[in-house]
Amino acid sequence: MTGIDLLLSVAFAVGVIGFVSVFALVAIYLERKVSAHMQDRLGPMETGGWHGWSQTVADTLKLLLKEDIIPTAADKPLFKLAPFIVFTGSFAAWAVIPFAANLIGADINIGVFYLVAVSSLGVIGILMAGWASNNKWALYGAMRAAAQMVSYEIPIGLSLLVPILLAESLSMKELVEVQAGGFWHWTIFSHLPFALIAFVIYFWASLAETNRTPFDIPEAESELVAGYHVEYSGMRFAMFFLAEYANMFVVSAVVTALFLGGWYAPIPWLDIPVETSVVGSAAIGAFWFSSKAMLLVVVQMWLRWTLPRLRVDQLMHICWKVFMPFSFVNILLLSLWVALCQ
Amino acid sequence: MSVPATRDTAALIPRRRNPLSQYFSDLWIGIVTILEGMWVTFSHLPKRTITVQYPKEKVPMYPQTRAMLVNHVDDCGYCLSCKRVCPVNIFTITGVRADPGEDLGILPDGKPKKMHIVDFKIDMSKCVYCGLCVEACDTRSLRWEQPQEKPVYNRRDLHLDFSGMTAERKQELLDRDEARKKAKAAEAAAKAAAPKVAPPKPTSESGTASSPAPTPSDPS
Ligand code: SF4
Ligand code: SF4
Repeated sequence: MTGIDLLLSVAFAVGVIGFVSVFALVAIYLERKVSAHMQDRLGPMETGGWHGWSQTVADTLKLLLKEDIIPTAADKPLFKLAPFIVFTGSFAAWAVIPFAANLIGADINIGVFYLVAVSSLGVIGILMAGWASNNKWALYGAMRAAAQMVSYEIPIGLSLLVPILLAESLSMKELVEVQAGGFWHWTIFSHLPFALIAFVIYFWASLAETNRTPFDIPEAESELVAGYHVEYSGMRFAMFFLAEYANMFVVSAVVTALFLGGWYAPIPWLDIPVETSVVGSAAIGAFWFSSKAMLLVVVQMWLRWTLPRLRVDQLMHICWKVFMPFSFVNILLLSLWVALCQ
Repeated sequence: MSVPATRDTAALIPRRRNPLSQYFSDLWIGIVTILEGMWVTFSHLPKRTITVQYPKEKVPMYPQTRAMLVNHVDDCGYCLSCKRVCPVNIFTITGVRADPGEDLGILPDGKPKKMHIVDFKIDMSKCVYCGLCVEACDTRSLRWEQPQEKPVYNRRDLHLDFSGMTAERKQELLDRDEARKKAKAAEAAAKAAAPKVAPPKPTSESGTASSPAPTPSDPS
């Protein structure tokens, strides 16, 4: 690795940190507004003047300035470490997200595999947080999170196999490149029944992976106060929050890259090829990619404010008795189809 | 096999004998109801909000709202019913009798107003909003009125005074009353003192009972 490569990687990492923070601010604001308007409310309206646009900025400042309380009975090193591990898990996934043809942190040949691996790192942090808090609610939350995330890894992995089978590659970049040329070439539309089922299963299971409603039983305010982060305050709490929103974007980005044509515009002549302009193609690619991912983030919020929380048994039922058989049959049929017809 | 996911809505869902068709029907119903729910929340997005931005917009209160007590002193006849009925005793009312010939107007019940209301203080910080005082007020001078809120920085600011008089005017009326009282007392003392000397003293016990006037030492 040459010096310039290293510099570029560092620049990308710093850029992503900036993007994650800004995205989290915008997404939290958006979530408040979406939830408010779905409930015929207005949401934050005061801070910053126009429709309370700076509410989340003010909240972040508040969290930064708040006292960082560590319970006396907590396991201190673990307690301090946990939020960073959770955040690292979701942040590491950004390395392989292909924002544009030439805007990707690391185009490794096992991109999807890496992604599935690091995104389950978060559960270690969550378990750590729950255990170290020395609080029964926190521990319950952490145990639930572990059970849930481990179960949902399987349908996620199986449904990710569908685009991989079609593209015959694990590299995120190549997975997107096979979908070039208009929305009818996007995986979700080009192989309709299989890809659609995989898309729905992945998207749904990823909600469980990010601990969002209807799968927010690890945090379940009404049962567990706040689950694994009940003892956290100030900046450490903010880290969990940031990780949750970063994760939301990551799963949306994966769906975008694998099923919705990644950085390609819906109609081919809206794209700028790399040969014409490097910066232009990166910008337009990032624009399309982020727009699609953002749309999915909004859908996640929409689902969150629509559905009630599942019970633990219902959660397991959906995972093992609905998603699993469907993804298995889906993969099997697709493999047959690929073997016979291609 | 009963499926936990749909147990609660069992009555709404057609039950099938075949567990496999039951599974698919549950799944179908699950998908349909999720989409239905999403449509419901989506349809609320463009709807008008039902909340108001409180300090900036206010919902008008109903006329019978127990919001703020207001006394229109011009209609107050100094009957003190309100003070008597108040369970927490938060009224401080002082009145000064009008001079003979002084016209203070007519009360809503048709009688002439006889008293200047020098002080009509209500300590709203103690009010329990029972509304008894308003019901007790015959002349309807004491009423519930808007605004429904009165935030203050100092508890003293909740001591409302409805007399509507300047301090000088109050003092003037009080001084006048004082002077009149003094004159009356002096007159009464003179009256009491005069017959005291004239009639011959009966026994000390029966004397106090028959004489209505106080002893000379009382008014001073
Ligand atoms: S409403 Fe308030 S002032 Fe009137 S009687 Fe009740 S407590 Fe007293
Ligand atoms: S009851 Fe009404 S009229 Fe009587 S003293 Fe109170 S306010 Fe005045």
